[in-house]
Amino acid sequence: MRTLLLLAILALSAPQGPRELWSQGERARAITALGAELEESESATSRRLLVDWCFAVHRYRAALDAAEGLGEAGGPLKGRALYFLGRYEEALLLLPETDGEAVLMRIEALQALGREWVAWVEVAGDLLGGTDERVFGLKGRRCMEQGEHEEAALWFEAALEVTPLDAEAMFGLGRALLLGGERERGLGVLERHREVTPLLDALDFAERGLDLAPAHGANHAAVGDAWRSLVSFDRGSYRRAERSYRKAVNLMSGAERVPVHLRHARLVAEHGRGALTAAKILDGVLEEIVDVRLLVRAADLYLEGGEKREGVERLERALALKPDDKEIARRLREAGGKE
Amino acid sequence: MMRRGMVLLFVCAACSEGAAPELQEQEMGGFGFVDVTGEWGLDFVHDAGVTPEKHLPETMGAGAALADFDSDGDLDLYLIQGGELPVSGVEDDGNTNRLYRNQGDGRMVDATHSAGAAAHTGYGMGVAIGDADGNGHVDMYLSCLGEDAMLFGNGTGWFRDGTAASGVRDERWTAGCVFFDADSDGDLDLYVTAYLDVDLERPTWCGDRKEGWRSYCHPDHYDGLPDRFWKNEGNGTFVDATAEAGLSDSVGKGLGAIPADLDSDGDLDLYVANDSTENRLWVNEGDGTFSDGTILSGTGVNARGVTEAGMGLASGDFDSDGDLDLYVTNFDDESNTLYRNEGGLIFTDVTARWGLDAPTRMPVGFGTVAADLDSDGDLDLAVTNGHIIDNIELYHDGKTHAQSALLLENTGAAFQPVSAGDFGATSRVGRCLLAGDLDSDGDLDLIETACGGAAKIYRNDSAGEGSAASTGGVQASYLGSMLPRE
Repeated sequence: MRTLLLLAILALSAPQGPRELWSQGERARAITALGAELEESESATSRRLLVDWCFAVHRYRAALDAAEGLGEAGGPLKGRALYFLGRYEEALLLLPETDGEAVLMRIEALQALGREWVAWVEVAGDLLGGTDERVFGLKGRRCMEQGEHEEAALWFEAALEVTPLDAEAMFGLGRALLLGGERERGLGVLERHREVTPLLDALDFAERGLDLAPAHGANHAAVGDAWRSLVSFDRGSYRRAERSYRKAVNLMSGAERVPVHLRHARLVAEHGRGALTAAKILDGVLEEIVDVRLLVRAADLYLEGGEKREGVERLERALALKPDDKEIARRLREAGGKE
Repeated sequence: MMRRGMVLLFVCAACSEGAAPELQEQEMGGFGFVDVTGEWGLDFVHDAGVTPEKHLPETMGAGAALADFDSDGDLDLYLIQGGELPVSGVEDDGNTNRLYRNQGDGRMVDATHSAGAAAHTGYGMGVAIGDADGNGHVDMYLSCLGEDAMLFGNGTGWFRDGTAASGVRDERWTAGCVFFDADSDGDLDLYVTAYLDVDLERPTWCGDRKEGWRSYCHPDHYDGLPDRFWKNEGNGTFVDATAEAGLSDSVGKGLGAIPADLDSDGDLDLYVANDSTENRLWVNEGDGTFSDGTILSGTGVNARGVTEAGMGLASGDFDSDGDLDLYVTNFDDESNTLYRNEGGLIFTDVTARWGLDAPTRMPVGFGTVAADLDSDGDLDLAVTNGHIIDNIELYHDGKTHAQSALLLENTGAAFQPVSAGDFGATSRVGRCLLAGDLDSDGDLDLIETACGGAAKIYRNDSAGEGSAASTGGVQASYLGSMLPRE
């Protein structure tokens, strides 16, 4: 028995491999460990993985260095790293012309350098297919450059059909309409763009935090909040918000989950299946975690949904947990319950 | 212990001024700036008041102003100081702003001791200059982390503190500020941007918890504060006229403001650079009230419809078509942005088309100057750069805290990065940049401040004949101020 216990302790304290560290969100340590592993024994597969990991945490110089070890096969990866390092001239020499994503980078690099880029839009279209919204956006951009505002508007509209939250397409559409003579319609689109922009900024900020610490539940919850704020602009954001809240909860334990459940319930109540469904979701959580915040919110949702008896019952339970809370007592009185 | 840590950090900051990467761009010739800081007697070192808590104000650096404070016909220099942050329990270290008098040939003598209230001890940010009380002498408004100040000059380089009497009161974290006659009544009104609502007593921990990895929080962590517009009553007293002027909706993490006649109707409009939020173009209706022209003009975001971290501003007729264009400096992974004025209050982001995207994509741009630096008749651009995060290398291995300044030569339909002698030859944590003819030789010299580092003067030895004032334009820079040139 003692031996088994010792073995278990040893297993727990044994140095973890880079892949395990990565899966646990210990990204910096995983990269260091994989680098050390490669020093011991070179492997093209592991080296490629190291490059990918460096990209994932925005360590582009490290990605460039790691890709060196791949020889000629590392050229496209080096091109990508150089692109992100802002070394566009060098990137252009290495970005493959037969890869759609690389061609998109080529276009951006050429634009940044103030060079001719228009011809590459068709190449990108051929490689990425006829329905890629980024190609639609580039075609819109090209038309804007050439003063073809009506055609630009059509391309930007096509991009928005695929990705309703594409900031460039939304702004481009507004500008194309405005400059093409449809002033009021253009200003309307630009007003909508102005409304959505801070929300997209918040999403971008939350996603960057998540990139750095993907095993941190609060970061997923923050991304969920950002998506929730976008639901009125794009229904597809609802599912993304739900998915993020679910991931957050899976990475959290006990009472720290409560705020995330409350935010999920708010999402459901405001944008999904309504107050009563949200209340039932919270009831489900209450089977695992007894928390006064969950009870009060569930009560609110039941009352909002017209289920007075259920609401009062949740408030009574909340008051039982926190008998001195005057606010709960007041709400219970207002709901017609007894203290 | 904390004091010792600070000293070490400053030593490190000085050490980090390494040689800049060799400029690969085409040599244009014609530009030559020589670092004459020591030779001309400038010995100002900015104290950022760095703490282990990584309060965001420590990253801001501070502004400077060029004006003839002592009425002797040459440009004197006023430099804003930081010092100990205004946190409870921390004594003000008495480190003051400093006023240097020009001896006529560019040599500077520290005259702070005889500058009265200009020896201001607050944690300074920016400065606006102008004749606020209409008596013919240069006055100053100081934006601070804490109480701002209004200083009235008597034309000899001496200032009295007129903050209370002027009616201007602001204790928030203010930043860019500018005097301009908004209502065309002959006196100078004042616009003050406010930045973030930061609680220094309860600093947030940002970045990794590992030792040495604590980082400065992104501005997105904090709420923005509304800017304020102060109307001059004609005698140097001001009233808060933000709402009356139609400027109430100005919550945007403001860092820079520049007045310019952007719709060519004869009055001064206002462009405000906001950090990480939409920039704003306020159109003057002719009577000192403003309407929001941001959406129509397209100057709130870049060509991709994305907000940027607007910091420094310059305006001028870059394409020589008779109207004023706008140049905004931004954060890393964003380019600085050039908006070309198409007329009718429509602007187009021509950054890429004018070759300004790639050279400015990686640095964090702060102060900028639009001026004819090679006296060839068009407006060139100079930009000072430097990251705000002192340990950025830990998080992004391609980025550095100290960065090289940039000089961009106007070639008529594009800009080209050029080497400029000592300017940009050393990596620094640049913040404010001003241009002025300090040695009265007819060309524009450059003054650059650094966050937690020495201010520098670069004498213009560029080739070319012509007058410094030949191209006009409107000048402003990150937190700094120059009197408008005719």
